[in-house]
Amino acid sequence: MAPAVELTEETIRSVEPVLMGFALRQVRRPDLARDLVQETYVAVLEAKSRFEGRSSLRTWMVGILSRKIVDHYRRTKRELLMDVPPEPDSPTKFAPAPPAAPDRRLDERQAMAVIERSLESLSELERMAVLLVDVEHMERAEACNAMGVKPTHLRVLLHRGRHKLRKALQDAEIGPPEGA
Amino acid sequence: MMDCDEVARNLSDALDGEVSTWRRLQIRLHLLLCPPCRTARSALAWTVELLGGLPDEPEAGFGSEEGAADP
Repeated sequence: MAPAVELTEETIRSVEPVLMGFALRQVRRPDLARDLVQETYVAVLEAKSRFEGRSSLRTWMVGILSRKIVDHYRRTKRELLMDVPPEPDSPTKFAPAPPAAPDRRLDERQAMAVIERSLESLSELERMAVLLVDVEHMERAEACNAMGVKPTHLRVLLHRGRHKLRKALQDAEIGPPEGA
Repeated sequence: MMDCDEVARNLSDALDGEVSTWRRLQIRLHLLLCPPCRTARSALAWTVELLGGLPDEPEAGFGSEEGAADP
């Protein structure tokens, strides 16, 4: 028997920051993020009997929110990456990083700030792939389902998104700790 | 043996354990012998680690009511 979803005020209050944070990082507009989160709550109420408990409630709700965001993109964007076959990566497109400079700064707070800013430079789907897999720790299969993309496409999105963020850190001359 | 370009293409998958055992061995062998690729691997792994540590909500003032307008 599927576990019941108790959408109590406490549940909503506990998950809302996560949903708002995810939506805000994705769409960059607080008003739109609030609307999408509200739509997610409606969808959760309608779908609660289908929650099978294989993932956490948080992950399940983020997955629903992701689909709402993708639907929004489909309604408002003329061309979405998912409708265009991913181009094969050229061999030099993601060349290895140069050796770390001895004076490369290590400052995790600055690194986080660079990451936060640089998420905006990713495409919508690259950003969503990174947020789902690396921030929300969603399994790739679940992320594919949430985004409505095939595993090969998610692979490319993750690859590009992560490398763009890695390059942003490199350009800011921020590198990992020695021996990492 | 894998070259640097092929390692670069597979690093993201390798971090998630999404490569075959044989490919993982090839990557490890290459990393043993190639300092630039080792650096790239460390940088990418650290990037993913930082992403995992992002707070649930971005800082106050993030985004704009009129920002990133839909086309």
